[in-house]
Amino acid sequence: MTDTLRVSFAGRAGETGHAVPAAPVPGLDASFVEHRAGRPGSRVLAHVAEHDPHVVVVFGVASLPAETVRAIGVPVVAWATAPDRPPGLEHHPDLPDCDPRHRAGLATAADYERVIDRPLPVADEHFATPRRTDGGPRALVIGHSSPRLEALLIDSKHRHEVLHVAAGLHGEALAAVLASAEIAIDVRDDDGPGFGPRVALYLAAGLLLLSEPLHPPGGLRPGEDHLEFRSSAELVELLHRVRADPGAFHAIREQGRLSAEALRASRVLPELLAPFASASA
Amino acid sequence: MHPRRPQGGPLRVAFVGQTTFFQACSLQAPAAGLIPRFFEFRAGGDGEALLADLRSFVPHIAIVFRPEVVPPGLFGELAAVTLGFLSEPLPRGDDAHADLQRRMRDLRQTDAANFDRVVSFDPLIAATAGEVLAIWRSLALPVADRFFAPVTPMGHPPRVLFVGRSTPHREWLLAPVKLDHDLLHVAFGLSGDELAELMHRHDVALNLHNENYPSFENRVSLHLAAGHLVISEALDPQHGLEPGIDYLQVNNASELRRALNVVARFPRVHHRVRVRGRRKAEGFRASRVYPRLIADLLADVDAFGSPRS
Repeated sequence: MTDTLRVSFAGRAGETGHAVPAAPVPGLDASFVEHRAGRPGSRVLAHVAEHDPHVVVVFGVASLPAETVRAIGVPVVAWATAPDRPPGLEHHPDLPDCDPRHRAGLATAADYERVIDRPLPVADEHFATPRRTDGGPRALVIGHSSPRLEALLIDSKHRHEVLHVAAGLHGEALAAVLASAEIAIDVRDDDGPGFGPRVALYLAAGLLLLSEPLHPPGGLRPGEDHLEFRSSAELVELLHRVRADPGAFHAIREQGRLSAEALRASRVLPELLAPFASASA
Repeated sequence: MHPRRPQGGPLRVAFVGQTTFFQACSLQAPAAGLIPRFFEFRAGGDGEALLADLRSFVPHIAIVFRPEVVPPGLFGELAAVTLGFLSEPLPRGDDAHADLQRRMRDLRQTDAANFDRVVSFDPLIAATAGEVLAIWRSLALPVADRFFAPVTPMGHPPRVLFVGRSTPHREWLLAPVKLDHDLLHVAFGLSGDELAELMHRHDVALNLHNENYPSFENRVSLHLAAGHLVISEALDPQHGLEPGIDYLQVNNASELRRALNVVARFPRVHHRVRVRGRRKAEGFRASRVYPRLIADLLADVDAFGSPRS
């Protein structure tokens, strides 16, 4: 095998695309194919045929049909991800993956070389120095909504400058939105423990991360590289403090940016994926 | 408490509301002798600070979106003609959705003495609102001139946009669309230049009600003005728009999905609808609506007085 690992990633650009470098980085030549849960795998197979990867990574264990995974002629690894749509749609008649007959044909963990269950990395191009923006610090939320998220955010949305993009943000538009904010808010769908899919993205982009407690913490330390809140009132108060004196939180942004280095895609992905590729290369 | 108005001279008009929602409904540049300025104010805001800002502008007229969020008595001494603009849906009968009942409770907080006149965005809620405030007239929220743009060729695939908060009703309708299309869903917080730029980069816009009750959302006229193909749930009231002619009407998630799939496959198929919708949007243009509204307002207050007088 050459020194550069070729990896094809399959997923939704708006959900996981930020984890995959858009251009080759040292040791990694990544390509991304848009695949949405419930859709046939033909597009993924065509992409693999064109790019000839050493290994394929599928975001979401059950997003591809099992027969598609088996038809890929190189090792396939799944990366466990949180649901990419809001709760409450489990019985939607127009969503193929809500149909039990369709679900029966979807891949399971047993169909993959391995299932990776760890925080999503962040593509190198999203790393940026913490910076001030015009017009006061704005907070950013990216990701689908849920009743729980709305309950936590509603007061902050009406008292502070908050931008919430629920779907479809990737590429240049994502970069522009990240550059327009100084604060990021991470909220989970439910009360269970978790580590949001964009935590590393926010830190790498130099934003001040306000998050519910992360579990597992992924090496992050509340109070040092990000700030925690546990209620709507705490979030309102935190935003008030940050917006009143943004400079007082700059050191936390700097430390968060440094912590994100541990999740830099060019560092994480080759090391993590090379063992799976070596057998076939 | 009304100001002396210059004979034939320019009138200063203060627009008051939450920027995210209402700046796009205001007059943003001088027109027909009106000099506008927008003042940010939202529920729970500092009323005294707003009053101080308004006094420094010395407005002849203050147009206030969501009058129910203005603290009681705040405009009692403001030397301007004040117009409250109701912008939220309200119950139309006894069996109202919980969301509408909550909004009605909010409306009951309004201090009617803050306003010389009140306008409702929806004639069908006027009777309900009338329990709290005397509704002078009803008209749709206008659209700031800056958002008007020519109809441009449809992208291939079409660039689809939904601007509105997430609710279970909306997510139910949007889920299949998000599966098939690269839909950008901005749930909150965009206004001004960013909103204008976003509008410019899209061809198709969706309008979905908050919950399963009828209304007329101002994003319909906003997107029509921008030259978008608007795909909407049934509008009630229509405010002069006609389904199938000015916009496409859908009634459920399957219809919405099918409508977008058709547009994706045949981008020009509804071009005439875009053109007709864009033309109809002229009726919502801020520089056309506000001069007439304000002239009527001043004449009416002069003729019939006001509870504030």
